[in-house]
Amino acid sequence: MTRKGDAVTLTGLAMTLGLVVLALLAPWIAPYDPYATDPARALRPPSAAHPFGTGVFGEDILARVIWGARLDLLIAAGAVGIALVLGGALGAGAGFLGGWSDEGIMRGMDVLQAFPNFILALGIAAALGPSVPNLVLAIALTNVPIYARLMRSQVLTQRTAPYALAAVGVGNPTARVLFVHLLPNTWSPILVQATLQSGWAILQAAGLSFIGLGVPVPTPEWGVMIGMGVQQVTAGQWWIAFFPGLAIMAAVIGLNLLGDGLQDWLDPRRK
Amino acid sequence: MTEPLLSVRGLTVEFDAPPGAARVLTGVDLDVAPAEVVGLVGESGCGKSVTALAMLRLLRAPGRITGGSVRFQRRELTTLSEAEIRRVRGRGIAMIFQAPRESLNPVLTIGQQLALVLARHDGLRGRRARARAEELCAMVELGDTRRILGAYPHELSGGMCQRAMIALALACRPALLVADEATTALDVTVQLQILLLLRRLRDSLGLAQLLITHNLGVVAEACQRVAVMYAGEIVESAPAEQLFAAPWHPYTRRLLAARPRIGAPPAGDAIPGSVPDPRRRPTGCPFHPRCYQAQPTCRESHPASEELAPGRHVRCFYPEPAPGPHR
Amino acid sequence: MTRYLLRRLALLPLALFGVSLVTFALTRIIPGDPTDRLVGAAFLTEERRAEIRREYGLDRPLAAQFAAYLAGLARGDLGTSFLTSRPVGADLRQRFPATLELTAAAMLFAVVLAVPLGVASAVWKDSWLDHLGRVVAVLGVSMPVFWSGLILLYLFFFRWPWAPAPIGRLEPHLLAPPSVTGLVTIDALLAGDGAVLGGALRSLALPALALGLAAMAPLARMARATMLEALGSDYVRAARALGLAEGTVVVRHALRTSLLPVITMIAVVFGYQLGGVVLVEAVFAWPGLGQYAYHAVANADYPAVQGFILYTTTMYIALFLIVDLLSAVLDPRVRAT
Repeated sequence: MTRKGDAVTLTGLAMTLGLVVLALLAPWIAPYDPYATDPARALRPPSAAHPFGTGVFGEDILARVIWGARLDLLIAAGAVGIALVLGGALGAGAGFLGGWSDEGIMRGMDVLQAFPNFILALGIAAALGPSVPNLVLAIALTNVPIYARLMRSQVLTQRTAPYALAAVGVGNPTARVLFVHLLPNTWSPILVQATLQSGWAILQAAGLSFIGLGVPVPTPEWGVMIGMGVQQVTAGQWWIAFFPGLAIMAAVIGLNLLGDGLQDWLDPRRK
Repeated sequence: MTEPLLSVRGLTVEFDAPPGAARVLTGVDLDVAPAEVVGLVGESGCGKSVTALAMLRLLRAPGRITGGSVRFQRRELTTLSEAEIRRVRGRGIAMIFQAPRESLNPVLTIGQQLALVLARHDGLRGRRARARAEELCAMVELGDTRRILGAYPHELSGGMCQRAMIALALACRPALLVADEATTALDVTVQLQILLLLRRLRDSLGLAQLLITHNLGVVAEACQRVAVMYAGEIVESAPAEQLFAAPWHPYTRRLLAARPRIGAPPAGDAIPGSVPDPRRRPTGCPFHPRCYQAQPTCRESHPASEELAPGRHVRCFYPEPAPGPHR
Repeated sequence: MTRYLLRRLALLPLALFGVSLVTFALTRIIPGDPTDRLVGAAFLTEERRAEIRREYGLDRPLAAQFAAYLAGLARGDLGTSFLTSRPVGADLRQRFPATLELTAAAMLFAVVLAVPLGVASAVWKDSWLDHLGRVVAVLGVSMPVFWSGLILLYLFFFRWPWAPAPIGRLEPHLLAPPSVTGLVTIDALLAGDGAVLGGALRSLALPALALGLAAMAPLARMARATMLEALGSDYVRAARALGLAEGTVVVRHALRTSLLPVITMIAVVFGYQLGGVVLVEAVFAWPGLGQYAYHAVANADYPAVQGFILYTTTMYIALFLIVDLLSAVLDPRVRAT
């Protein structure tokens, strides 16, 4: 990897860490209560007192963007975590068991991937009803096939690798080989995928919340906040929707740069 | 010796590999006379392919020529403009590669690929191009011309792909054909057929050839002269018969000894060690760490190439025929 | 070729069956009584609820319900909207042209800009163009489509008023041309109505731009990657060794092979667009499939959501099939298998 590539990866890392810090410290650094309304201060453009302006009810946009980091990163982490565990287990099972189990699991994954991703998430979220846990679950389920495939191909290539055959050959039980020898070797492509996928998860969460399928209004979540500013944009009050969108972009760019960098960095052939 | 068709002098190539540059070629000298077939041999990684690619200025970044000259038909190739060197490629010097199928475009038919070359160099189109394409196919002994011209590379065998590649290379009547391990990936029988074809092309067209290979059998079969390469320089060059009969450079001797032969026990005296990493070249003679007769001099200074007999050059302080240290 | 075609076509019913199974299952994962989700459920008597259950077949075993659902699908019956009591299939068919017009315009915009950009980025690797391409790719994947739509509206409706208000396919003072294709721009062209054509294009511009920006990133990335691979290939080196002009090498040798995977990528991107279209149509009140889904979701009109999912997914699968067949025709290597 070149030094320029390192700089890009570090930028991604800094952006991601910055948002994590914002999320963790939200209660202390947000200048206002994200739910506080004040009709007298409604729809103010950005100023010193309200750097990102105020919304229809006089709520402070900056405070809400900061609190939004908390919820959006949590949703992304939750969705990717669930997808990873579920998909990883299914993929490892398919790869190790082979035969009909493999066929059954992978055809199921094919069907899930036949849907346009966002539309499947929309269907699941609509069926489950709008709430944060349901939103997390909907996004997680649509991403399960990605990890299942990745894990399966890893298991298939690793289990016939000489070191795995050697481990079985000296009398280790197969299950032990799976956990002791294989899993540590499969984590790096999965880590890369999880990082890249977190960015997607944030976009999906925001999109679903925007159409009312995720987090309910007026929770400080970036998609919800953009939705609350739709009517005002055509009246020139751009800041309500603008800043939460900028936050989404920062998060997605950060995670993507980090993921791309990790990919180069973990690639054993990078020399 | 007649005036050479190709004359390479002191060709030096470096690869920018941080932290520093790696010298892959360190002053290569090489001559090919008209209608002569020269073998360029050595272990893999010694710089044979880089020499050929550098001659045609086909090196990819980060590799670049940092010194020396390449004269071909009295023109200096290293300083030609990009447009001019393109006219030399194909027309003056054509090159074929190790992987014949990968060297042909997978989504164009052989006929289409020939048409591109014919249009470029001879301005031939339509029926005249078609006639010339069929003529070329016949020249390289590709059987059913019509079928071959309409075929995609994946529909042909490896040997047929290499014949097609040779047809492409011959399309513009080059004076010199560079074949980079052109028979290595093929079956032994196919290999022989291709070698016979190349010999016939030399006889009928007077086509000079530079055969790059690590297979000494190919050299013995096809070449009139041989240049042996080690660690980015030519260590010995001689007429093929003389070199095989009496190799002078210790490396050449070891190379010939390591050659598998029927009936002989597996070569126990294969060359120990491996070709040095260009970034960590040994001081003095680059072969000294692996040489069975290295002396302190070899560690300290770099031998120059000397013509010890007419047409025989060797780069060694202690070449075999000379009694005691030379000089 | 024929065998490949047949195998590919044989998989189609299987895929559709799987997709309808999932879509059916989605309605069954909801806890509670389906009649609770009807409009005015609180006012229903127990007898009326039982009647409705019978009417919709909700009292029968799941397998029988699924069989009935499949039988309906086979007839083209996508169910009846809870909200409007109209057949969902008819509503979707009526709204299809609006979405087709929007996605086609977005795709056209994206392909025309992204593919040359990706190719140029590869040919002039590490030039300013390549850097520009990278910036476009990063921005494209990270911008929420509904947000870029809003930003475009602010810029070109409020700040520099050029585009009409986000109220659909034509401003109210323009009379829709007689419907021939259902695409307002084409119909206006056919009717020779320049004013309506201009108006339709202005209404189309911003939503198509918002959707297209998102589609550009993956297309440009793919075009760049495949072009770089082709330019670094053995056959390109061989073509250069034969002295072909650089233009010939790039256009006739490298471009040809590198565009095949890009065609497949177009289908993948179309899948993203079907998702994005829900969001963009919601922002621009574009009367297409996406807006239908948006309203259905807002009113918990489950048969409508279900119909929408099945309809768009089938379109997606069909497009994938077409693209696969197209690349089989264009790629001699696939054709041979």
